[in-house]
Amino acid sequence: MVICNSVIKFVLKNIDLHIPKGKVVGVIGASSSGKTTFLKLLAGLLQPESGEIYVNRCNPLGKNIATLRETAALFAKVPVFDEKENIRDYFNKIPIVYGLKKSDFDDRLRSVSEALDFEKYMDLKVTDLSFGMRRRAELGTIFCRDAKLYLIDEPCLGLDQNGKEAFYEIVRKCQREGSTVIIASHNMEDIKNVADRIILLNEGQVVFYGDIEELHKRFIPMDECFVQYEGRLPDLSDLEIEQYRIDNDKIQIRYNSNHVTSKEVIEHILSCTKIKSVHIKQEDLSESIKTAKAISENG
Amino acid sequence: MKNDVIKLSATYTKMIFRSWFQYKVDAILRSLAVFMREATSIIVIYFTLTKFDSINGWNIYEMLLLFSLVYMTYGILIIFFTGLRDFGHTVRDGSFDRYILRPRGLLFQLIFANADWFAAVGHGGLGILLFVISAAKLGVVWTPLRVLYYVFAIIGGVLIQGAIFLFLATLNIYLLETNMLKEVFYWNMRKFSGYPMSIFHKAIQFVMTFIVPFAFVNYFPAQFILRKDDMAAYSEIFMYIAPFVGIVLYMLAYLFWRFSIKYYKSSGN
Repeated sequence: MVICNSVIKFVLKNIDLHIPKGKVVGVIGASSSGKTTFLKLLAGLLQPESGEIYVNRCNPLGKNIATLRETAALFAKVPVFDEKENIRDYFNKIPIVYGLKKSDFDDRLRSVSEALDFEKYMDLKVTDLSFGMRRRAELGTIFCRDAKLYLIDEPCLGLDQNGKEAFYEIVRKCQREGSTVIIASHNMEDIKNVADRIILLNEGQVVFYGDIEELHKRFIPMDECFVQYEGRLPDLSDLEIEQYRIDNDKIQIRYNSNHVTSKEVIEHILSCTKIKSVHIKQEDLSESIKTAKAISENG
Repeated sequence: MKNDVIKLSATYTKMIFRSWFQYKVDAILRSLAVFMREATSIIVIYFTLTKFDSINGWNIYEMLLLFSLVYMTYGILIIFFTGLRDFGHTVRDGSFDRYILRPRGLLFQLIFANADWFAAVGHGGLGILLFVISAAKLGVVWTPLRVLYYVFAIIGGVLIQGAIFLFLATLNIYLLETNMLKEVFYWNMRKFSGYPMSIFHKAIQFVMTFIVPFAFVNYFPAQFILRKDDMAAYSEIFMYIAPFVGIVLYMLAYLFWRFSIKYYKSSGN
């Protein structure tokens, strides 16, 4: 679906990527690591300084009608609605601008506006909406189109929990329909919930591209296991763990999941004592951004 | 696709009208306010001129012909070129990217999404009124050739000003703020063009003929009927090419625009 060959642009350095059709990809990285630039390149808003980009086998830069129709992009800094018109007017224009069949579009819009719950605000102007509501309607403007590629910059900005869940659900639905979705976000929860692949950018370089499990292994291998036990204190000396803390009947164990798996830790404790409860915590995704940064700074 | 474009422009237009007719009084007042505002300045000039017989051989009705051409062309101009007049804002707030993302011509979208029909009624109405008054007072005999000439001269006049807007709009891609340039090269020239060009300093005459060719919007087309003595200072040919200057100028501005869109994408602005 998306192919980048040694793309250079602004902060981005030598991006080589291949994103297959039907994937949901999360782009993460610190501020000014090039997330938005990357999405803008794919949307054809920017021309690469060198290298090639293909979206659905076409160069997104050429004003190719077919490509533009099949791409739906939403950028945090690009206003969507006109302040003069109401939300419904904007949606009415979409099938004409994109040459869509009115009945299909209406069906899709109905389901999207119900899911994101902005149907009742359709007759208001954008200036009368709260930030969260506006965001829902803005997300509606891309998902009401049956695109092959969705590019979304900071999708959950200002969304409440219901809005976020509705968004995840729609993304999953688009994925089932065979669309590719690329999401750039600071919010790791969003990424974790929908993405099946991660692009980790650090200062314009792709330091990781792969699935979340792999990212955990490579950048954030430290897991924590909280066990409440009953009976005698388990012997932990045989386990390859970083540290542990015992507090009455609770043990907190920190270990590198590349060296020892959670399963092994639990099985070991079980062999010594009885377990009342177990809670395993993986490190937050955002830690991977810090790790990537630290690695690059220390060479 | 052709059919589609017509449908889309009709939809854009319909929406502009509908949103404005939600506030009917507001819409009517808008047209009226524009009309009154512009008419006031004409009335001031009218009474000033009653003190003199003429300016450089031009009487008040001949000057009204100059004004009428400015207003008629401007009336049509803001139907089609408001989007370009306000393009600086579009670039600065990021909405321009929104236009790029759509599978439609950029200029097409800028033109039809921003047409200012109500101000157009005010300006155009005043222009037609002045034109009728002055032509009647001057006793112009309308031959088919003259009618045809004026139709093309008005279209040409719209295109000249459209080209100036397009050129200044394009500069927004390179510069952050072009309102000052617009003030100098458009609005000031427009003010000058209400008077017979021959009264100004040679440098201004040069600018109005060759740099920002406002003289082709109204001065030379007016001379086509009036044939005043001051026309002797310019080549006769200017009168005949007036309707075509707009087309050439617009083509040049369009090429500059196309080139700059490429630059916009590489600079990211």
